[in-house]
Amino acid sequence: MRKYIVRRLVQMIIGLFLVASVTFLMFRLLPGDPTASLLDPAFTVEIRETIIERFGLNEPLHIQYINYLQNLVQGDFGRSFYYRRPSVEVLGDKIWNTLILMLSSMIIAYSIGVIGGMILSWKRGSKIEWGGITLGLFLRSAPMFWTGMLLIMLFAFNLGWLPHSGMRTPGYEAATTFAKFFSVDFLRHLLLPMITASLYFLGTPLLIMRNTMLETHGEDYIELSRAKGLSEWRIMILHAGRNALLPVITAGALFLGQALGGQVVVEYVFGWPGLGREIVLSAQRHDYPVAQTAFLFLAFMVMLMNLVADLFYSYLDPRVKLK
Amino acid sequence: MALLDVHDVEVTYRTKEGPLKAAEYVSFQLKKGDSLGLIGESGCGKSTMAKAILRLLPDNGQISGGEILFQEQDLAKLSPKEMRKLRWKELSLVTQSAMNSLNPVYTVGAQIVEAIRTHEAVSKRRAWERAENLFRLVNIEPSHLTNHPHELSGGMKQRAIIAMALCLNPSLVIADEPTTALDVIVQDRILQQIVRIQKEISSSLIYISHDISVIAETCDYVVVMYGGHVMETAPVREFFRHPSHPYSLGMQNAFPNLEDVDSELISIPGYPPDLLNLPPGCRFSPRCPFADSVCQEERPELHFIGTQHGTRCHFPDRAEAFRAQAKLPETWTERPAQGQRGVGA
Repeated sequence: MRKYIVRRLVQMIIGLFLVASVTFLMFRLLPGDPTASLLDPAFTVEIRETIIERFGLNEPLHIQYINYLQNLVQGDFGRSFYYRRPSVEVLGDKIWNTLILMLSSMIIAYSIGVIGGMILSWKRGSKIEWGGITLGLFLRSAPMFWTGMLLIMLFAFNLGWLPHSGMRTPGYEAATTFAKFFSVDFLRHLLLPMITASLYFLGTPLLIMRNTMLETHGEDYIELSRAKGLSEWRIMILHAGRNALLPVITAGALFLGQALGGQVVVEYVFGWPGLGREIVLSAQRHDYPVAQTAFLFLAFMVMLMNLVADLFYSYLDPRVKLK
Repeated sequence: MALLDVHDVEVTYRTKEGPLKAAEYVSFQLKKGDSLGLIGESGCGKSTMAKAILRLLPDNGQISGGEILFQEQDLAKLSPKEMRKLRWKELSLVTQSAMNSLNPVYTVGAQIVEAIRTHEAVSKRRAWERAENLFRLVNIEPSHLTNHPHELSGGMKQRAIIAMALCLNPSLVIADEPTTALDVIVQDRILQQIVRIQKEISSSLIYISHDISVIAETCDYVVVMYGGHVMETAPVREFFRHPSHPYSLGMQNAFPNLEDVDSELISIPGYPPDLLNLPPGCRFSPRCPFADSVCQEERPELHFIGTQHGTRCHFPDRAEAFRAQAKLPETWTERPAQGQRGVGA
């Protein structure tokens, strides 16, 4: 087990190195001048050159690459051209914002999706199943900006119950870190983007759960569970559901890794200062350090979640042995 | 009063090609502590009967007639909730494929404890102790209770299922071909275990098999099914000494006889009937070497030739002559069976 984890971690490091190299090259291949945001046109040539030198942008590409990797190993992810702050710091705040939004939406979507999928498969051939599948497909294909805008229109403008964007009411100052994320004001801001994202995420677990669960219906152990006199609920959840859970867990873990990189659309629609929005902005600003760090983080999360899913797998299915 | 009195039961499946009667006019009784062997070829309706008694027919199947009196209540009329209380507590099942009958994600012990605790208000610990005793009863080391099904051998899994079937001392155990998937030696050992334990806890047993020798070894009574009908029913000795239905005769010919090693094995030509397209008269008539025109037109009743010996044949009094003729291979080969399907295919 420990050996397995160590091996996986080594694989992760190699993976991250590759991602770092590819993103490094990718951004440098993009047309446009990264120094544009750094420099004021009014600067003299000397000042201009000192600044460029300070960021190491005068060096040839391979030297820049080696410098980048060296810094990376030492935990230095570079300074943002735009914010003039370490890119980790810039992203740090955004990661938390994204984390809260995405985790809460995922938990809601996957809880409802898994239980809903179980019920749909158990009621196969009924109107409930037909309606559930239609709804699932509809939610899965409705673009998030569209659902988001509908919700804003209804709850923010027509009814005026909830704020339409941002994370906090302007001028609101949280007294403690706890209050920052658990105040009524914050939760009110969280509600609409969370619902929008949950609705969009819901379709996947719902449909996967239903499909894999359908395969368990004919299993002999389900028949034996019935013969044992267990209640239908118990059979559905503890016997059929438990066995059908694996593919949903995989899909969920992989998606969570991605989702933590931020969902650009929902963050844009609701003006949520998260990671996704920041990635788009930094790419537009040619802010390499921030963009590269963000991509590296995203890759790390996907790999990490993959590992978590595999570890969880061997817990959920005792037949899976990790070697 | 019999523990189980199955009376004229009919089971229908809805299929795309129309209703399919997998069992019709099935009647038999079973007294407390006795064992009954239900025998027949694949598709003759024996597993359907097991599922009907347990009310575990698939969604497209239903008991469309007759009654299944168990402890004087009609199982066919019980509500799902009443039925659920009865299951396992009074009626348990040893399934056909022990390999897949245990849930792969739980330990064997947990699954036995679950069965006990569903029906009895006992502590987990107490239930576990009972599971340990059951494992000793079926000769498995109790420490295997903490294993998952995939960690046990086929024979152990089958015995674990038998242990589970006995965990509530049910009045009736239905064993649906419990040893088919096992090799002959393990099969025999498990067979003897089932019989021994069944006598010990004095529960009744319905043993379903296509293997006539297994039934001879295990059961007190025999019920022969063919094409959804009961063809013959008799105490086991009587059945082997005086088989009366031509189908029973043919079936006995098809199995090796230890006392008469030289006797040739004779198989019954033809195939079991298509349940969607049944012959109007006796269902065995297309393959029966003694069939007459009346056999092809009229459905025979179950005639009782002894107090407990019934045969669904138009000629119960000619049984003696049939027995003599059935021993000769020519009887089965000479007369090309009429209306048999799949010849030369």
